[in-house]
Parts: sequence; structure tokens; C-alpha cells
Amino acid sequence: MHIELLSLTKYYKTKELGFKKFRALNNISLSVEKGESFGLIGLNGAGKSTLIKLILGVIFPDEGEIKVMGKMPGDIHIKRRISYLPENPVFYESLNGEEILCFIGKLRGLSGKVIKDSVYNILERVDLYEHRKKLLRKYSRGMLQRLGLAQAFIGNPELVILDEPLSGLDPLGRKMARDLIIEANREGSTIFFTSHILEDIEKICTRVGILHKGELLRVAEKEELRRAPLEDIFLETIGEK
Amino acid sequence: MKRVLGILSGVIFLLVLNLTIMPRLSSLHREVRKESFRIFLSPGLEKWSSFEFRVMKAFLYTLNLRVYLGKLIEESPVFPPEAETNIIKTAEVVTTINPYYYDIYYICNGFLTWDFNNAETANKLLLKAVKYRPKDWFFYFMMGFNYFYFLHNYEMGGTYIQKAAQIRHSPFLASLAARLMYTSGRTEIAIQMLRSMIRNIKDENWKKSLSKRLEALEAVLTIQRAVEKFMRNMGRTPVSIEELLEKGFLQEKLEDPYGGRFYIDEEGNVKTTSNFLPKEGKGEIE
Amino acid sequence: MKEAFEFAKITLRQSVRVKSFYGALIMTLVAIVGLFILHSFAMFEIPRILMNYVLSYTNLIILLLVFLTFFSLIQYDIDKKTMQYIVALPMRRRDYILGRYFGLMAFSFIVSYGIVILFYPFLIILIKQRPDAPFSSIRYFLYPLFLLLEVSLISSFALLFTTLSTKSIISILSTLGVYFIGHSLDDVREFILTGYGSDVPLFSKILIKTAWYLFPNLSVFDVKITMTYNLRFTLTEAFIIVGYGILYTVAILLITLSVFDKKEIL
Repeated sequence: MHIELLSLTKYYKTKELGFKKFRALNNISLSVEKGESFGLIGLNGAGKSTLIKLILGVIFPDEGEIKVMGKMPGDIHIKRRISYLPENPVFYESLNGEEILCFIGKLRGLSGKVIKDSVYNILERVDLYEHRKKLLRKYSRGMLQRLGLAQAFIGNPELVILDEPLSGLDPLGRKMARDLIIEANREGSTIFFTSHILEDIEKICTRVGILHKGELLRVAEKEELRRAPLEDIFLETIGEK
Repeated sequence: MKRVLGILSGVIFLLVLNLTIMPRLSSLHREVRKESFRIFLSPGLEKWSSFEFRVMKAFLYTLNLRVYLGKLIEESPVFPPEAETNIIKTAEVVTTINPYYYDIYYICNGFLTWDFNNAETANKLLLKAVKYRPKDWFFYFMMGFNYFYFLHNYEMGGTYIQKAAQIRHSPFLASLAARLMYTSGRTEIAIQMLRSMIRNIKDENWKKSLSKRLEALEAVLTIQRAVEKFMRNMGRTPVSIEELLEKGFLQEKLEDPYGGRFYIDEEGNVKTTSNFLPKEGKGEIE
Repeated sequence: MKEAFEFAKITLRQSVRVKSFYGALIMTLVAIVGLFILHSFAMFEIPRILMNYVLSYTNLIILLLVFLTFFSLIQYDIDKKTMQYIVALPMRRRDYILGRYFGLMAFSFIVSYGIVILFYPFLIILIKQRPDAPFSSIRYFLYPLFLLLEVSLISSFALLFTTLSTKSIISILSTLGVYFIGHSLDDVREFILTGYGSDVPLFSKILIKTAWYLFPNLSVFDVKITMTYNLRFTLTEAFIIVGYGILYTVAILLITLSVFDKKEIL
């Protein structure tokens, strides 16, 4: 099992909410198998990003358990086999695309000669090769997103976590991103991603989870998805609550 | 956000600069601004606000003083009384910030003794100098000279010249103490001091002021030597400068560059009506 | 550790590309001209004044650069939320802190020795014209090490405040605060102990005594006067100063590491 969530609950106490406890996630239990392509959908504010941050060890749960590849989130050995693409990625703008990817590659364990080749390959895949020496502050929104995808797939990580990976891309870019994800999945990587563009989820995922107001209402299998359009399933599920 | 931060840090830096350094720097360009010395905080606060830049701040304050005095010399041959206060204030502040600073002791001593006849304060300042710079023989020497020439305290003078001689391992310096006991000896050494100061300093106005003083002292020395020769030959003090000229002990009538007239008093001391030379006192060995 | 080294390289690269770095280069050229101007203004002991000018300039530039570079870097990490991403990377949390620290130190080392070496030939030429005081090249080249100790302390505090605060401006102002307090400790304590101190209320005295024990005494690292005036500087004293700097830095870094380890990055 690549990701295992058990009765996961997370509270926030923020100034905006007048320091009252706000329950972002309530009793989430979920498991994602190795090699799966799992999509998490929900409205804005449903708790998708919170869930991802918990999986990555950026924040910690208040109740429940998380296990990633059998270990605690944040374990360095696990992190070397995972990659993450945040929503609206921001990188250090005084570096260029090539430098960022080389850095990530080195962290993932790629070495010396292999690195340059891997970096150039992935840059070509995401159509950023000509811009590799350009500083990030000159990158457009779409270029940053593509760079984000590049850093997510360099080094062929076993588990790829993507938060809204297709936002900010033009139709060509979206096709490229979808192809990248599907290809990686076919080669054995587990994919876990969130989106609120149902069309993409339909095309890529084998299982879909529906998150609404911090609760995992339903997990739909591939067969269910073939029977009815995802939009209907989604609206029906949240309409029930 | 970056721009706001950049502007904010720029403004803060400028404010700090303005509060500490700019007033001194800007006074270099303006006319004599007596207010620039009023801005001084207490010595302790000035030291605190220098943080890691004490030596440079001490230098700038001293430069400020030099420019101020230079402009004053230009304006009139007599210093206003507040100049003395300003010199002393600057000395206090600068020696608190950097007590090892050579220039401030030299400058303040130079002006306080020659221009304000305040050798007591000068020597107090020099005491601090020798405390922090014990290997510098010259400060001891200055103190000794001040005692001899300005304060007529030959005992203290001798002590300090000895100290200077010890540090410098110079028997020559020790013998100076003997020469300082004679009136003309003191004038000779004062002339040497002035010559050395004129050689060392760069400020043109101060140089001119000292050169004028040197000229006056050289005239005095010539007359003093003539008086001594007269007394050896005639067995009495000369009645007047004219007598020296008549009897050939003096070759020419010497002018006081400060506009006064040289004369000889009953005890045979050379004086001038212009009051720009320090008064010779009693108790010399002739 | 390898990860920390890689992140240090990233930090170094970022530091060199911060816009203020180029400003600093231009300022240095102006400062060289200033050296010649100073030479004509100074009266006595020219070698000492010139040497102190260069060392003071190095001091000023390094402090400015460290603060400005630090502004830029943490602005990104805190305000633009790159820290979330960095923490998710295959790096231990401590590698982030250590990488930043060593990157900043490497940057400061290169710049401070760069300036000191750049000025050296001009300094020698001007000093040879009027050597009325001794000039020790050894002490001249030793000074940046002590400056770097001060930078090390300030950097570690800066990192501590970065991990503690939610807005970059807070950590910047706090670091500046540590700088000013660190340099004031000696003077204020002296003030209290002398006659002026009788006016100070007891509460303030206790506050100042507490500050004395909590904050780093940064003025001990300012050895410029010792170096410029060739004052006695024994090996023991040097060791104590270096030891103090290193140990204090280590302490602050350890605190930072423990705080950051369990911190939620929201």
C-alpha cells in the first residue's frame, strides 16, 4: 500500500476564524495501492490541499494515522521516492529551469552524468528546453506549471502527488500533462492527484475519491465511472449531504 | 512587497545616516556652523551610536573640527571664545569614541596651547593620550614642553621630558630639559616644535597661522640672543630695542607680524604690545 | 548532509543573483575612489586610518548584503510559501536550515575576502607613500574571520526568526533588533555601572541584566581597533572570542532545528 490514511482528522485554528477550531478534515480513511491512479475531487475549500500536506508531512494530524509506503510521512527515505507538485507552483525566481531540475534530481539520488541527460529529456517533454537557461522570474504561468510537472516526474519517482496539475495550461499543455501522467502510471508510478476539472480525472484515474467539507463521502471505482459521467456522480454525492 | 521592503530599508538607512554621520559631513560644505557642535550627544551616547564604526566616526568628527577651525582662521586672527568650548567638546567626544586616535590629541593640544593659552586643559587631554598610547614618547614631550613654556612649571616639565627621553631611549631629549630652563632655550625649542608642526600638517590655513607665529618667535629669538649678548658684554639689561640697534647687537629692526611693537622690560624679557605671544614668566635661570 | 550541501549551493547562487549584490559591486568601486580621497584628508598615522577604512567598509557591506540577501530569501520562503514545497522535497528539515546557514556563510566569506583582497594593492601603494605608522598585513587579513563570526551569529538568529514568524517583515525587524541590542550591551552596561546609572529605575536595570545574559554580545567581534592600533591580542583572547561565536551559533542553530522539526508549515 502506498498511501494509507486511518481516521484522519485535522483542525485549524486561525485568526480569520476568530481562533475557533475549524475542522478541515473529519475521520478520513483511505488507502491507495501501488500502481494506482487515484484522483481526489471536491469543491474549493473541501480540504484537498490539507490532505496532501498531511501526506507529505508538511503539517501533522490531530487524530488518526498516516502511513506512506509503510513509514511516517516526512521520512527522508520515502521522500526520495515521492514527488510533489503544489497548486500554483512558485520556485526561487533567481534560478533558471535547468538549475532547479538539477537540484531536484540530485536530491532524488540521480548522479553526475545521468543528471544532465535526465534534465534535458524532461525539459524537452514539457517543451521548456529552449527556456532552460532563462531565470524563473521570466517564466509565464503556463511555463511554471510545466516546470512543475517536469520536477514532479524527473527521476521516475514511485509515488507522484499532484495538486491541480493541469491548471494554468493551454489545451496543448493539458494534453502533454495528461500524457505524462498516464505514461508514468503505465510505467509503474502511483499517481495521486487532486483537481476540480472532472474531465481530466475521468481520462486519467482508475479510482476517484469525492471530498466534501472535510469528509470523504465516496470512493468510486473504474466500473462505476464507466457507467455514468463523473459530473453526475459528483453532484449526486454532494447533493446527498 | 519586495519594492516596499527595498524602499523601507533605504529610508531607514538614510535616517540612520542622517542622524549620525550626515550633520558632520554636510558641515564640511557650509560656512562655519557653530550649531554643528551643539548637535553632539553626550560622549557615551556618541560612542554607543557609532556601533562598529568608531574609528571612522572619530575621524569624521576630527575632520569637522579641522575644517571649522580652518574657516575661523580665515575669517579673523582672533578666535571667538566658543571655539575653545567646541574644541574641548570635540576632544571629549572623539577620545571617548576612539581614545587611540593620534590626530585629535595633536590638533587640540596645538590650538588650546598656542591660540587659547589653555595648557592646563591641553595637558589633561594629553594625560588620556599617554594612558592609551604609553609607547608614544611625543605626547610626554608635548606635556613637558607645555609645562615649561606655557605654564612655567619647570619641575613638572622636567619630569615629563625625562619620561619622554626614557621611552625614546634618547639622552638628547634629556638634555633638552636643561635647555628649557633658559628663556632663549625655550624659544628655540618652541620654534622647533612649530617647524615640525608646519611640516606635518596638511591644513593650509592652520599652516599659515603657525607660520606667522613662527616668524614672530624667530624675531623674538633674535632679539633674545641680542639681549643675552648685551648683558654678557655690558653687565646690565638694555634699556630698549633701540639701544641694541645703536650698539650693534641687533642688525635690523624686527617687525612683529601680529602688528605690535617689540620692547624689552626691566628684567630683560622680550615682549610685544600685540599680545599674540605667550607671556614669559618669572623664575628663569639666566 | 549531501542535501544540505546542495541547498547551500542553491542559497549561494540565489545570494549572488540578488540585485543588491550588483549595487554592492558598484559601491565598492566608489569606495576605492574614497580610499584615495581619504588619503589626502587624513593627517597622521595614515596606514591606520586607511586600513580601518577598508575594514569598516567591508564590515558595512557585509552587514548590508547579509540583511538584504536575507530579506530576499526569506521573503520567498515565508511570503510566497516556497517553504512548504522545500519541506516536501527529499531533504531533512534540518538540511533546509543548515543549507541556508552554510550558503549565507559561504557567500559572506567570498565577498568579505574578495573586498579585502581587492583593496589590498591600493592600500599598499598609499601606505608606502607615507608609512608613519606600522601596518600589519596579517592582522588585516585576519579581521574578516571575526567579522564572519558576527555574521554567523546574525545569520543563525535570522534563521531562527524565519522559522518562528509568519510574516517576513517580523523576522527581518527582529534580526535587526538583535544586531542593535547585541552591539549596545557593552555600552549600556557600562552606562549603568558608572555614576549615570543611579538614575535608572530598578526595573530597567533588571531588564538590562537579563538582556545581557540572553543576547549575544556582538561588540566583542569588532576587533577593528585592536587590529588597526596593533593592540595586544593574545591567542587566548582570540580563542575565547572564536569559541564564543561558534558555541553561541551552534546553540541558536540547535534551537532553530528543534523548533523547525515539529513546525507545521501552513
